[in-house]
Amino acid sequence: MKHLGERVTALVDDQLGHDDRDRALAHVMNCEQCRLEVERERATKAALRRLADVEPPASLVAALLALAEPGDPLPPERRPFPGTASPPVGWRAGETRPGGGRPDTFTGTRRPEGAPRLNPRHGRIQLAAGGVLSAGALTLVLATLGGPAASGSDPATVVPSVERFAVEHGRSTGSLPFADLATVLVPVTSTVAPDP
Amino acid sequence: MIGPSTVIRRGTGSLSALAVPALAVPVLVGAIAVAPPAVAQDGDAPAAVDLLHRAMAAPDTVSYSGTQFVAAWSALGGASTSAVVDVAHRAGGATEVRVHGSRPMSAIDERSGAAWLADGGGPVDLLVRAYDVVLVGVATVAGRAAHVVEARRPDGSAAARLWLDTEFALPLRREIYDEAGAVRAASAFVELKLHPAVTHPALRRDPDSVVTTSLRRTDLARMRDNGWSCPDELEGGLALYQARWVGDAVQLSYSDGVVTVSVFEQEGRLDPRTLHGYATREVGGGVVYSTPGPPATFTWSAGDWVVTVVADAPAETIDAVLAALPPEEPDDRGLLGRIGKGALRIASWFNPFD
Repeated sequence: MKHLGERVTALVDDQLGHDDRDRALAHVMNCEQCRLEVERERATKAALRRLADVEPPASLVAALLALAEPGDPLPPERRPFPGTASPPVGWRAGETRPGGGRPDTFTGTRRPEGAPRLNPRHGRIQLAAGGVLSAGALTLVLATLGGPAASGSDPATVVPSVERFAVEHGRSTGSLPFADLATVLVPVTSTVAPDP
Repeated sequence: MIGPSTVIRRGTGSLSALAVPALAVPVLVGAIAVAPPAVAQDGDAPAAVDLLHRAMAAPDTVSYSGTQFVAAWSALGGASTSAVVDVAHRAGGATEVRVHGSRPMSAIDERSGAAWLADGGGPVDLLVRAYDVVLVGVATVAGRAAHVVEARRPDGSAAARLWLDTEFALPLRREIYDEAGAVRAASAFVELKLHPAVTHPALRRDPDSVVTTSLRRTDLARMRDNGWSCPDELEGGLALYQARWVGDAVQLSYSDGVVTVSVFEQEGRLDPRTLHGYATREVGGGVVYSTPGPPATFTWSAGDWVVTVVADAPAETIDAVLAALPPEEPDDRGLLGRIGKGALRIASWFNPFD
């Protein structure tokens, strides 16, 4: 049997049919290479599941929140009906966000009082660049995961049995009136290369 | 006639195959040059066709043993193969072939039993449809009188000649010519003993000669629905006459009665790293790997299929197969397909019901 190749993933993900799974498991029993691949795949899958339960550190949360900090006043400066809308509860004149302060857990850097304020456009560019990079990385990861097995043992790889095919060719031509005995002898007789 | 569906096990004898033909050529020439075929002024096609039908039936009624010289040249030109072989045939049964001077190396299965797929009743119809078949004279082969039947192309050139024993219609000599008139394959008895109605002792059967699964038209139609190509015919008038499973490949046998091509289709992707000593040629969207043989062999990827061709055929015939099953590098599902598959894999890992 050929190596499992991509079927390693299908086996670990339990996506094989009953018969295919039995055949794959039987192969794994006797093939150390495929057994190692299965174990590696299972370990990876388990590690990713554990990652899902990890609580992000507070500093990371605060830093992420700070990404949205700079800027433009909230709510938007242009209101549909200026002067008619009352400010949200807890807002004070001159403040730009509800609550009048930042979360108690905030430990990140903040702009010192009086320091020049960053151009909001720069922030947007940084955000956009980060998004593009993240999307690229995600695309790369997904494409790698979705690609063929890198082990070179892709089960769909075919090595034509050319010698056997030549014999079978002779077998099939034997029933034709003009078919020559040479066609069936080729696999066992010598071939003379052309003169240079 | 040499029994159909012959299968020969690879074995020893290559050196003798090289040496013996050199000794045998003068004998062969002496045997077949006694009376070169006289070209008849007016060929009698019905008589020729009748003779061909008798020739097809001869192996069922005649036992024989003898020595043959065989030779073939590659479809890619240049390379050739030749041997002197001992042949023993049992009426209605098996044929044994061995390279002269070597130990017995092949017991030969009898008729393949594969379903006949081409129009008409059998090989003679295939031949008659593609060529003009005429009687062109009488000659002597291995001391026996023989009718000479010629298959002519539409332009009148000879594609093949067959020498048929006047008494039993057994083929005694064959020659196949290319369009330039050069011999592409030839065989002839240099010594022959006929044993009509005599049954030879049972011959050893080669376990490798067990007939593979034959495919019928309905099977092929179903396979085409599942992505297999299995063309009914190839350009140049080559009709599909047999199909069968050979391992995980489907062998499609095409012929016009003289030219023969076997196309093997397999699901999967060709791994070029396993192909050593092959010549390469870019054709269309892919690469064709070839060895001269004879018979010449060609293999290539056609999308997610691998096509291998074994042919005793001119280059035009190979081009016809390439046109029917064009080379194309395997579909790697494209970037979007791979991204989608990767996303599904990750989603499956986080599936709480998994």
